[in-house]
Amino acid sequence: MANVTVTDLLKAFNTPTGPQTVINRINFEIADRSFVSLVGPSGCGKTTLLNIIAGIESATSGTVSVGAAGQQAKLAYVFQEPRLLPWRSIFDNLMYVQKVRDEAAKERVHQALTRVGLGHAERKWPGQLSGGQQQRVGIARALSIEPDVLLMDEPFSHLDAITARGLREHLQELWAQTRKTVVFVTHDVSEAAELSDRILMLAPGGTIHEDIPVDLARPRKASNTEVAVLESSILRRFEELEASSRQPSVATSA
Amino acid sequence: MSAPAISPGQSADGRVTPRQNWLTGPFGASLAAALVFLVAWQFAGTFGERIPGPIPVVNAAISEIERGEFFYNFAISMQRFAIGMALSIIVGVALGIAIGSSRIFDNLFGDVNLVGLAIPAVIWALLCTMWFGFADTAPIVTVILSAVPFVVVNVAAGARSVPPDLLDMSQSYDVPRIRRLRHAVLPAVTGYVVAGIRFGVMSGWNGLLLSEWFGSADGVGHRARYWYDANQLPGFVAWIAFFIVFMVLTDRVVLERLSRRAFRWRDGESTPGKPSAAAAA
Repeated sequence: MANVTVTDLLKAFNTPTGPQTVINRINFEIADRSFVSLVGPSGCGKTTLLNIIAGIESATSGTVSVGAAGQQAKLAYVFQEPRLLPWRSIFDNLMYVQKVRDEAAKERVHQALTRVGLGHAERKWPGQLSGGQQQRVGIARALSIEPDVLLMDEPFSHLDAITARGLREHLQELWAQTRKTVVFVTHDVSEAAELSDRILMLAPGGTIHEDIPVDLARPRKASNTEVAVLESSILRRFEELEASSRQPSVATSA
Repeated sequence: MSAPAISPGQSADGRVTPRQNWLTGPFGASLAAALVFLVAWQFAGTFGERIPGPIPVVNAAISEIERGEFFYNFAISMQRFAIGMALSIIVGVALGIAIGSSRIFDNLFGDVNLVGLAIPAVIWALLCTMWFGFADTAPIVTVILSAVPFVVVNVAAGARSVPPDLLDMSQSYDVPRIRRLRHAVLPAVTGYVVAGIRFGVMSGWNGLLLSEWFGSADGVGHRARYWYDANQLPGFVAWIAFFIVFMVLTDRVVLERLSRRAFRWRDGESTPGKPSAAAAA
């Protein structure tokens, strides 16, 4: 079982003007084998939250647990940029992250690359691949360690729209095959609606504004009517949130 | 209506022929430059005996080889140089990585290294001769003092340039520390190490020759001074030519290939682990 439980999580940074709270005592749980998106405007703490779950950053207070009690869950991270070792071949890049580099690992690496359509590119340098191909290698790298939880930080944001659309469709196919627990960060509401079982709306200041289940049939495309309707509903909620945050408080105005 | 004129080396459909490519390619251009230099040298040699022409210099070089002076003195210099450079690389790489990755080491040794860079090789040669006399120690230490600052400054730059993204990625995947050092840190630094060695070799070799000039009874520098003191310019220039050829060959045959291998992933000209081949379009 690979659920993610976040309890009373707080993250604050020290700045010259005083402590700045990025994540403000949030609580949520992500069920095993579900695809959950964290959506919010820039600066609302999405990436910081993902980094804390991944163990790259530490929280100021609160806890994050991944997997069942007493069990160490395996995490894999797909970054915004591919973050490949440019001086190692594609195959060696995936072998780099294997815990034990034996014949079984080589087979997993080969299968992961084949699964993302890059089995022919094992012996190439990362610099010889396009941006979209490099990002697919990043996804293959994550899948090759057979993780319990897949963390994805705006993996398609640096790509052109056509490539990103193709990769989103590919990701849906991969998820349908593997059914990993996925925590997906994006600022693109349409992308969240297209991919997720559930959307957590993060507000500026690092709180969870709303928790939205998504019960649309798969596979989905951004052009589907239901996806578009959900997208505009979420965007409307963000607009309302922004409007309410700009209004003066009742006590002050009285 | 007449057909359009076709330039030499150009086919009828306008494509460049192999002969034109060879002339303007790296080998052809180098050969052309060398020939121009030889012609200019020969022309300058006609103005008197203060500038010996290529033929007297070649004769003097052949004479030195036939007398056994060339191999004897070159072997001695190469031995000193090899010892000095080996120590320079070990010390330079270790110190460079320390300075580049630790603020404490940077504060302790950064300025010292800068001073080392600023002191010309001739000063080190004179100081080492005064300190160590006419033994092998003086030229070897001169090589080290001349080469180490260049190795350090390049390696330090490399250590500072290890991409933090890759270290974050390694941490997120829980990659063991030794594997991170071997696959993420050292390769990031390798190109800078090779560049540092290249500069170190140039500076070290100059330091060696100067040290042998001032304070040795044998070696390339000593032999060049012998002909200079005898006012025999062809012999003097012959030894200058010997060590220029050595430096060029070392750079082209050894160092440039090392550098190309260290950076072959960046050029994308070859496939990892396979002989060089053009990448598929």
